[in-house]
Amino acid sequence: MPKRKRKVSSDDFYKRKHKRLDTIALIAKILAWLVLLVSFLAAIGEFIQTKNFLEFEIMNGVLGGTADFSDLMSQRPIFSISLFVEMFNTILNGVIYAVVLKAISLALYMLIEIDLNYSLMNEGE
Amino acid sequence: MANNLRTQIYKNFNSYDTESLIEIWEVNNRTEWSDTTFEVLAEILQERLDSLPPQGEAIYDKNEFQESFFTKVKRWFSTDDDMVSYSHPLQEGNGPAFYDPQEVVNIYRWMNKIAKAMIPISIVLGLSYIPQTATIVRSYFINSYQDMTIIVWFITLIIIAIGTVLQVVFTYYPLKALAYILKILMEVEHNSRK
Repeated sequence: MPKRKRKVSSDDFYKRKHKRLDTIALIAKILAWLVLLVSFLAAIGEFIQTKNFLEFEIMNGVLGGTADFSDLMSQRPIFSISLFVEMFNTILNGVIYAVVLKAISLALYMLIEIDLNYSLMNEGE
Repeated sequence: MANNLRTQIYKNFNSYDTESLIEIWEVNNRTEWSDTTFEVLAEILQERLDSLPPQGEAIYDKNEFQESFFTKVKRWFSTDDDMVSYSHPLQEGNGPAFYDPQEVVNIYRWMNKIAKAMIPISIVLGLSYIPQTATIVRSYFINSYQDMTIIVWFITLIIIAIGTVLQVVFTYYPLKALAYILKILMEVEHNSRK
């Protein structure tokens, strides 16, 4: 089987592998912000969903003794605590994912930098 | 050799924020820090503040140095905040082209803070899941003729404890590891420059 020829980038210094890593790092960087935004939206969505569900339960008389959603929240703090915990958990997960993605992006940029620095050093020798 | 050590200590402490340096200076714990460290600290603080802040009496006995619980927690929470800025001076054309070192420092600090904050947060989250976990566990004993309350609560607490420990382990260690990888990579990158 003939050996496959290694493709050489037009730019000898900034090679294709650097370009690829650069793209992945950029994607990770953008995803970090996206994840953060989505987690905030998901927390809001969770609030709306729980509110609608509880209002439906109140209307059907399942949660008797309460007039509306705000009344339920003030009368039974366990519901508000549970809702708050769920929302907080969603945002926290988003923050963790965002920080990790940002760290991955930075780590990849540093790897590119290291590789280029060593290439430069070898060129000098 | 001594000069080298002094330079190393200077470099290390110079990246600390002034507030942390003042705290170390004021506590004056000689069981934790050497006399050379305090000499270097005095030098840095004088450069930054012009005059030295008042210093507490030197602590030479470990038993003498007893911190309150909150001070210990506070100190533990800010242990890895030593790196507040990029410790190497950047000159024109000398710095990295692909990333901002200060951004790495910030992410490093954020990851350390989140990793540590995850411990109390996981405990609180775990406690908040007790009622619904107990309900699920109770449903398995619904047909039991005996009172299973104690067993239900015992199983619930075990499940919550395991869940909490796993959540701490799965978030704390990866975050810490990633933070240190970033720190090491930045040093490697710095050393790889001509």
